Amino acid sequence: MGILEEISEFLQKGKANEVKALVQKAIDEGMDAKTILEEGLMAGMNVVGIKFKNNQVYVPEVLIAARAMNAGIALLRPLLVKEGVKAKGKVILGTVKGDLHDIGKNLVKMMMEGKGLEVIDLGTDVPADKFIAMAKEHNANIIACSALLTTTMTEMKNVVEKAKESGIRDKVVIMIGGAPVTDNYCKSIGADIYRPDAATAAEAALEVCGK
Amino acid sequence: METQRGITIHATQDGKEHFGEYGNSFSLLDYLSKHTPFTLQAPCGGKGRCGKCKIRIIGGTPSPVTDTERTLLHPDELSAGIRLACMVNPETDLSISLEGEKKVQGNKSFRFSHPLPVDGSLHTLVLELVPPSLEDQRSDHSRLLSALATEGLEVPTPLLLDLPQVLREGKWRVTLIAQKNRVLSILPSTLVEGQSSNPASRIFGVAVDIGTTTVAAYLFDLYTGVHIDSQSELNAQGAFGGDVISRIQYALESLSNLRRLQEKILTQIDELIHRMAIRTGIHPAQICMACIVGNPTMIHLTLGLNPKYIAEAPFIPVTTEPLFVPTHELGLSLSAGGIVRIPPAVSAYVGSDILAGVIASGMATSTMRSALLIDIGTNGEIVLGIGDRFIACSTAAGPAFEGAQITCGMGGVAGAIDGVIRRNLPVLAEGLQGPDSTPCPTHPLSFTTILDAPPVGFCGAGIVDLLAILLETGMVDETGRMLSQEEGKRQGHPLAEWLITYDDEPAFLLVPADKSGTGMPILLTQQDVREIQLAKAAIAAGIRTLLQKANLTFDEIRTLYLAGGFGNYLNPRSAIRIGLIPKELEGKIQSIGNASGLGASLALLSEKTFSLFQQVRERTSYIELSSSPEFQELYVEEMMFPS
Ligand code: B12
Ligand code: FES
Repeated sequence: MGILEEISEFLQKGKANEVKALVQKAIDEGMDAKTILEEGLMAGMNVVGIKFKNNQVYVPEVLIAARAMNAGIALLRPLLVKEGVKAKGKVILGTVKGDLHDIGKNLVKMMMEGKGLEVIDLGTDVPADKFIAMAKEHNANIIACSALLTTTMTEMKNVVEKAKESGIRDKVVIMIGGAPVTDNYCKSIGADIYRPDAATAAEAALEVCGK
Repeated sequence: METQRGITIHATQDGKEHFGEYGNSFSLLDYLSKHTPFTLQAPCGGKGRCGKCKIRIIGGTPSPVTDTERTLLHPDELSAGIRLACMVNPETDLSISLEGEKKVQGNKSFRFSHPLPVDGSLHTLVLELVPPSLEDQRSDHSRLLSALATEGLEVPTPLLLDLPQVLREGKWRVTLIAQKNRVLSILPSTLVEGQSSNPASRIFGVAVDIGTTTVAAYLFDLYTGVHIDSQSELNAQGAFGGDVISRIQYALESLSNLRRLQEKILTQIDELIHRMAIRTGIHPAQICMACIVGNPTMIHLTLGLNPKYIAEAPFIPVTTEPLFVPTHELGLSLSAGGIVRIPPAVSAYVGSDILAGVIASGMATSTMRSALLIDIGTNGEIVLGIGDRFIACSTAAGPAFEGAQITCGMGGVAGAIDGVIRRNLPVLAEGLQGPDSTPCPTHPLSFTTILDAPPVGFCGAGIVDLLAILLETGMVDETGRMLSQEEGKRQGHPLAEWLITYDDEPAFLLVPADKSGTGMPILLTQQDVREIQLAKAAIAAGIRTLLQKANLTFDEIRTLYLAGGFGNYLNPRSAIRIGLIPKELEGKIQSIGNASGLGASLALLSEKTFSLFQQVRERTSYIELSSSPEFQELYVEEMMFPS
């Protein structure tokens, strides 16, 4: 097994220490950071994503795998900057105002990072204005909103409205998700994309940014 | 959309019929919940997410089947005319039938064999009034008051409504029931004496526990503390969502919605009381008092109070104070002068029902060692008692244990599988019956159902039992992954034969279609296991968080009291096996049945107990888990199953 596959395997098992050691080894062997990232770490996270989507692994395994991925990325970050590797797109992510649930949102973040996207995580209880302001500031491709309460879900509509008001609606794709959200709801408030789980959310985000 | 004007709907449930005009309802669910007396459970509140609001089309043309229904319903169901009420609009006049699911299991543990303590705060007084005549034309009221002159009693105005009949029926001899200086009821003495030689023993009260899912009412003799009768039903607000947030959201859409929810629950309580009164042959005017407990949302909706700020951070209810509400203000047909006692609550998500549990369990008065109380419902409330202090939290486990969100899940009603066990299937000669009358003699598992009805689905206890067995036999691993059909075949375990693929996912088949009461297979899918992981982790993490906050180890816990209908049926060993309850508490679990109902009954019968609620509340601190980093971490850890 090559070192990249090994990185991917250990990442899938959530072994942060092994991943870290192997990434360091690959760097020392002179492999470029972009390759390690894409063919080692991201490849591993991709497998985790597919298994998660198919219900073969669950939240804890994804979180542990993501921890391992982050351990590897931390080593690569300075090199990626030096190599001039840019993120494939920028996503503003947060849980909407009044809502403090963030486990699902965190999974979305990890999966998106696993696709090479830069995610600016605004945390929980995020007012609509903040999503807009940050999207402007970072010139983001996507605003992604999470909501777990039927009562706070309506806040997503405000995000769409505010995006229109501030004139950035045609520059940014609005993506929504969370347990009570449905595709019908997405259409009814004029948002762009709904996805039922973090893995497909990340796939959709990558597709948007690739365009 | 075309206008639906002129379309009529003919609906039946349990042999009852209802005709009505569809009008501008936006779905059949909307129509049924607003315009018919029928009950339909709609756990997701009509959002097309839960797939539980099933109805059957008997005749007429409904709107075409939606994609949502295609995902949530099985093809066999669709071809049998089953639809989701929240997704259907009629295109012509429609005839539909609703499943009769109203009956709740007959209060197994809820016969109090001993009278409960009463504090004798009620007194009766028999008055002989001088009959009126042309010479004595004083009003009925004046006549009563002058006879009462020396007693210093106050007669609430609503009692005047029935006063003329009562005085004349009793031939000017009446029995007054009073508490302190307030008259609660005036009865014709003939009525009271006709029933019993001791008038005092014919005065009643009702304790009510309003759960989000189930409403239970208990009739008591207020003088002796003897339990006379009880009744319970699924909450009639079920058509407006299965959890408190959905109900609140519905209530917030308009004032008339809030009124509708209030009316639904009050009508239901009234009906339960009426039914008990008729069954036991007593007159509603003899019921002088009620005590109602429930979570704060239920109490708000019962009183018609605005629940808005319960739903959003920082979660502020209108009131958590103890209240005394005259029965006529709620339109309950008890004695017109009666009083409804509403005990206090702790916070937006820890209500009087939980305090009632603390009191019923004895935790409130014992200061010996630490104990835990858990009420596993949609909101898993947990209370830790340490000495004379309490800390409480609410874990939002979700309704998985009440059967919602589970493919074949259902509430604890007739036909629900409530227990699953492994059969010792030694060599059984072909054709021989197994050791019990399981419908499927070759299946290595057998089960029991509520009221021994044919199996229809799982209630929480059955799900937990089955999952425990699947974990124990390796059909599901500690991460929650279920073996696929092929993996099962390779593994060769006798249970593995019952692993199937259902909707592209692994599933375990317990009851094949031809053996079930619905003609549909009863199974547990991979996705169901995931839902249970979310729910059980919330409870387990809640317990651990409280212990951490209190700096306590499990050794120091004397008893874990399991309250609530689910707790009552749950097999503790299975609960520990799936990690719903931490293993460290093994051997300390005690199911105490509907503790909220018992607590409410105690507070109905004794003012002292009623004021104990207030004392317990003052000694309780509430932990908000939304802002607790400990909870967050423990929650993810607890999603795994114990190995
Ligand atoms: C854990 C939990 C909590 C924790 C939250 C911890 C935390 N930091 O997140 C605590 C205990 C604090 C909590 C509090 C409350 N909760 Co809560 N909670 C839950 C629970 C059990 C699980 C939620 C969860 O984490 N799921 C796991 C994740 C992975 O799933 P997910 O979030 O859906 O995310 C996936 C997808 O939806 C998608 N996704 C998520 N976000 C996004 C975003 C985008 C853009 C996309 C594309 C996709 C996407 O990807 C994810 C992975 O695939 C659910 C019940 C349940 N069994 O589901 C209730 C539940 C959500 N809570 C509920 C309630 C009522 C509350 C409270 C109001 C009440 C209370 N008792 O305390 C408070 C409110 C706090 C607040 N203002 O937010 C209700 C909501 C009911 C309703 N109709 O809205 C639920 C459904 C339980 C119930 N039925 O009563 N809760
Ligand atoms: S699907 Fe109709 S109420 Fe949930």
